[in-house]
Amino acid sequence: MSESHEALRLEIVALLPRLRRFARTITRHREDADDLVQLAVERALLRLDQWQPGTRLDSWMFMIMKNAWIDEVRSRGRRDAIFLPEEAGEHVGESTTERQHERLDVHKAMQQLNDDQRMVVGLVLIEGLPYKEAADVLGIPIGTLTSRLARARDTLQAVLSGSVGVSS
Amino acid sequence: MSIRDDVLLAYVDGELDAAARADVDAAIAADPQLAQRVQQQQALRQMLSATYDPVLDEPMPARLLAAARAPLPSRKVVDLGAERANRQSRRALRDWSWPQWAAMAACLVVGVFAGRSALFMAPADEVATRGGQLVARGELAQSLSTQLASTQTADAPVKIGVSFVSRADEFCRTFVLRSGHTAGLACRHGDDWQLRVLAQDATATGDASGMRMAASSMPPAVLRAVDEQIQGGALDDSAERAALQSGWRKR
Repeated sequence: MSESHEALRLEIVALLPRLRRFARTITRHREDADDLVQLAVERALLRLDQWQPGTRLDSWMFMIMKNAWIDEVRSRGRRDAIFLPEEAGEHVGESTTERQHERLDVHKAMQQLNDDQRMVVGLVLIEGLPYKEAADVLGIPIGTLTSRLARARDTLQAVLSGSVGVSS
Repeated sequence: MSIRDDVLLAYVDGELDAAARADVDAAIAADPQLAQRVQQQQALRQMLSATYDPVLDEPMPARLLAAARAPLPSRKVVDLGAERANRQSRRALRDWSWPQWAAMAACLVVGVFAGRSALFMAPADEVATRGGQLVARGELAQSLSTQLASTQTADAPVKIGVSFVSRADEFCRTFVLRSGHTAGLACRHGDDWQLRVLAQDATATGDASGMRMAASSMPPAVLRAVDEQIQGGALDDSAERAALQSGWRKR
């Protein structure tokens, strides 16, 4: 086993929180999200040779997650599970319920998007990837990415228009 | 001047070059409605972050750490010479260079024994583990022990931020590494500087040389840790000097 593989593995460990965040944006259920991360990590470790040095490891991991989601996890997902009821109580010390409501609203709004839109939102608006990078992850032209993103934003704005901060 | 919708969104997403950005800035200044649309888009981004960022601070499920640490499948030894050449060329490309670190986006790192996510992302020379804790090594350890914030030079490899006494009654110091992309909080424990937080600057992707964190602008993860751990206020120059002279030992 080469040193560079061990180094890569360490980088993957360091990426885990972001992989979980991305998974949470595209799945409905936190267990599905962690299943997705686990599957992606296992696949990545099998294919470390395929990662191109000089490219972004996070993007590569996101690409593996996207494929794993489309191929597998989505189909066996806990579709009936409504999103994250445990979310509400888990942030200890959170003083305002207002913020919790806002989070719940955002989760609900995200459910109004289709998978493709959620992935774009996750990559660009939450993970902060540049358009080009996100387009490469999804294997789509930048124009497609930006129009998808624009539609997703419209939907989110519309659903959230009653919520704090986004009202017009 | 009217601004196209897609340009406005690209502006919000930080995709415009300086000239295009200046155009939009000027248009916003002249058009309150445009300004409001930008604000709405920024508010949306903020709400999304506020909703999903807490995932970063959740305890890491053991099964995910286990998956990432599972033994790598043994690789068939095909041709040692070719493998060596391959490795060398790869090393020439990467080798943990600073730009490579910068290419990885934000990641909060907290020692596992701090009871939170066990993550690790730091240059091998500066960091080691000891008794399950991340501890500073090399230049980082040296700077933490000997450098005063008041006298450090602009080109020092490690910039010291604030020094303070923690609630656990240890001396702690924030720092920014040379690259400007990694910052953290170290606390003196016995003879070690234990790293309580390491954070990478997400905004530093792409343009490795362009953006740098000043020692005064710590990432939020570090600031939060300081807030949580500080007892009283930050040390002033003379208190910092006295702490250094005491070998960072509390009595």
